[in-house]
Amino acid sequence: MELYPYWLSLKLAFITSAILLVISIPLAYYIAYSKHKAKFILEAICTLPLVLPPTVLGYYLLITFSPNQGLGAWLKNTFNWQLAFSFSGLVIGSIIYSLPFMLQPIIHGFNQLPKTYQEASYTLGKSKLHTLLNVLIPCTKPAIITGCILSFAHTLGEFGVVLMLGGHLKSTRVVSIAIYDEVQMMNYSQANQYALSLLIFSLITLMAANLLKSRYVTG
Amino acid sequence: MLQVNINYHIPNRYEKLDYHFELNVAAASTTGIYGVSGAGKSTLLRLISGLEKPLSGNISFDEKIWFSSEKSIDLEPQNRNLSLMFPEKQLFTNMSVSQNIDYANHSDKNAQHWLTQFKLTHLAQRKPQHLSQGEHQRVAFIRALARRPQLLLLDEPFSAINEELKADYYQAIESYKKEWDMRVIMISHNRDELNKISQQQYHLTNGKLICDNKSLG
Repeated sequence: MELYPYWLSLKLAFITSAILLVISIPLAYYIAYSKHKAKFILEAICTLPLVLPPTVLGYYLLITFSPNQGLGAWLKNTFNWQLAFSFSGLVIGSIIYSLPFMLQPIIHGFNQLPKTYQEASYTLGKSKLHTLLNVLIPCTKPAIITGCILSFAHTLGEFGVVLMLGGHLKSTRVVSIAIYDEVQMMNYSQANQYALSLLIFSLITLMAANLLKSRYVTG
Repeated sequence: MLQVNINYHIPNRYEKLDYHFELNVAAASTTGIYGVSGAGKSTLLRLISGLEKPLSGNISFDEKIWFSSEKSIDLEPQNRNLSLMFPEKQLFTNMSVSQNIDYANHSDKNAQHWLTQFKLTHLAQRKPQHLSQGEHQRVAFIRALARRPQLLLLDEPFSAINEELKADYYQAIESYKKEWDMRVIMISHNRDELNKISQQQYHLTNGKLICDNKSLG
């Protein structure tokens, strides 16, 4: 059994979750508190990956990142950067695919906070940024941890988008793809090892993260 | 002098009431406002603080214009140098009582000093979710005061505090009002409470403020 797919899956899940965390907090803040009607369109677009089949998303990303046309060709020609069939492409695909799993809990967390928290901070002379950093984000910590757990676990088990965007290359062969490959080759004992270890690892990750979350909630 | 002369309306499914608020609050004075529930008392404080925007009119504090529909001026709440104590729970649950006070502190005293003055040192490290309603109100009042505002807006600030303790808080309002040249506007259902601490009172009814100084002699 190769260890590389594990390393790749973990790397992908870590990088995706870290980038999503940075993107999702300002995005969730805008969606939760803005009175602009455009926020409903933005929220619908950000939630789309929840209902879209991964292959559909993967297909469109593959077309977009294809080095033969449009954006993909421009990136290739200008920066010599190919996103299709590369790890960078997988990261971007994972960010889009896992976005609602990070975003929705944080929006929900912001919406759950009493409106008086923000208003009290403003009338105490604190700016919107100061209020966000010192009151809103710390008070939403359990929701942010939930978002991190869900997006990490979701990226770890991602299959459709990775298959469409990564193809059958060693550099994009995450655990879920390795399982699929081994089954295709009727190599069930190898597939079983990958599947069981991914199952146990996902379970341990979720348990550890939930334990951490409960400490924040009660503490 | 705080001068308020504004118009507002709350679009409501059942009724649409037009408000006209006009009041003046002199330096180092306390103004009491009373009226039935739903009369718009809290709305008035939200308009003065900048959390809601009036339809038209002016709000000025001494020489500074806070709101003017004619001049298109509408200062953010952060730039109005005021504190608003809400009737709802408002202490930040990620901070201890001390940290909540330090968050707002603009005075030369630290949280420990404030808590000692109001005999609440035993609550210093406690989180707001472990406070009683009365304790929550007392800490919220201290936090609003610690900001050292030019204008202190109090919305039913002492409704959960027993009578014996209230005297300390009335005394604090009186002394800091003079020391800092602070204006105070306080909403209360309790007319006796308003009679004790305010120099003028307004009755808010049918969307208008009616000056009522009968009870003050």
